[in-house]
Amino acid sequence: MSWQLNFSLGLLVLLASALVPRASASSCCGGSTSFPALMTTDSKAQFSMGLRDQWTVADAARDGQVRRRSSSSRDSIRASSLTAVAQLAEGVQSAIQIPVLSREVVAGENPGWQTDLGDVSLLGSYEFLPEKTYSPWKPRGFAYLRGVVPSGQSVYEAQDPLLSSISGQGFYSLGVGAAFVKILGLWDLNGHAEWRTLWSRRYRLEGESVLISPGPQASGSIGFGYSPNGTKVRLGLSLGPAVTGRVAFSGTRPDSEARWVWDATFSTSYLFTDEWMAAVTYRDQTLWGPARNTPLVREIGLLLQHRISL
Amino acid sequence: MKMVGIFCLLLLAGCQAPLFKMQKDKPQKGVMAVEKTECSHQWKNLGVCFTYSGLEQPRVNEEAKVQIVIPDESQAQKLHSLRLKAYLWMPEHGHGSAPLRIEVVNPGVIFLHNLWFVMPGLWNLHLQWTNQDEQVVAEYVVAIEL
Repeated sequence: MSWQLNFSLGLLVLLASALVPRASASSCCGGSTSFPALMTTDSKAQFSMGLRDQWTVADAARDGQVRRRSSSSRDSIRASSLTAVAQLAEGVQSAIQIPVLSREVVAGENPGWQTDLGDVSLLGSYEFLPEKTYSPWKPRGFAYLRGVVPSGQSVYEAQDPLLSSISGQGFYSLGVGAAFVKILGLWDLNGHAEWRTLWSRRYRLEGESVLISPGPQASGSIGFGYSPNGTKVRLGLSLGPAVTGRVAFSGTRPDSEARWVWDATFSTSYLFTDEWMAAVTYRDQTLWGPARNTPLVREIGLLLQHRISL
Repeated sequence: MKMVGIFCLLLLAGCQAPLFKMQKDKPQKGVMAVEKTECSHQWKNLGVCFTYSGLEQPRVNEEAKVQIVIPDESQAQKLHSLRLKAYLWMPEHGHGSAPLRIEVVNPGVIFLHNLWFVMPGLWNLHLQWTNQDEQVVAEYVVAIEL
């Protein structure tokens, strides 16, 4: 019985490592799915440090036609982020994520490189479907609110020629969502869905005060994992869309078009101890579609996570 | 002799360059309605014709420079009290690029520097003349597909 408990605990911990969210790192306009920062283990707190390298490989036009970027033009983002999650009461958690983004744009002999604070996000969650007794089908369910503060520099503020200083979306936002996880023997399943509202904000564009009203955003994912070697290793795969609504501008500027992108993410996690784990992830936006009106990126990520048991 | 003189006059008339050379640009998506009457590009509200060059082969993340020429001196004088405002905008994505630098060489020749197309797609170059109250009195939009 005890090995079964340990096994389950190990899978939960590994699953947690695979579900650590990404900091939103759009170049100028890309989106991504982002699993909420939740603790799926019985822990007091959890700290994660992530490092990701993301590079743009293609662009999807409004009609869905995909064009590859030339090799002489490189646009990459290196993002590091710190995420802390704490349990406030039984089933109630809060989290903060602080990203720092370095963006490099290379165009021939003209490199642009800048490091800035990204958009800080805060999350509060409640486990509305706890797993108190064994059920072969019922998942654990979390409802959450995610607020994002535009602490990064947006595309509307960047002044440098290659716009390498963009590190955020530029708007306050509030997301409401739900996430589910379920362990079935050596397998696990997970999924989430989120709807975000963004608040309008005034920016000065070409000397003119323009009210910019972003449309809503939505994202979701479903994924599964498999632990082939006891509880030490987990291989995971997830897939999900991210939709960004039209942006409206006061004055003469026309509304932008909505954007669609799909994230396919592969992950491998390794559990060093019950409290320490590491994960490597690979995310690719060119594998699944349709994609519309957006740059398409690939990304490699490393994650180190430490949790403090109850 | 009289016939030879008339023939020569006709020849000379045929060789005379038109006042405004017709620009044979490919039709560009998104260009605001411009009647191709006696000049290729025109700030309609002002009745000022111009030509531009430098956007024949724009490339992603490479600086482009644009030269604007107003061939008719009297038309160029109409712009004396106005200010040119120029910016790049990506209408489908809803963002622009870095601020442009405008260099007015003389009333008929203007250079635009610092045009950076930071990604492929449809870009609009807005060329606006504003009055002292910062109101736009005339605009021409060049659509550029990268």
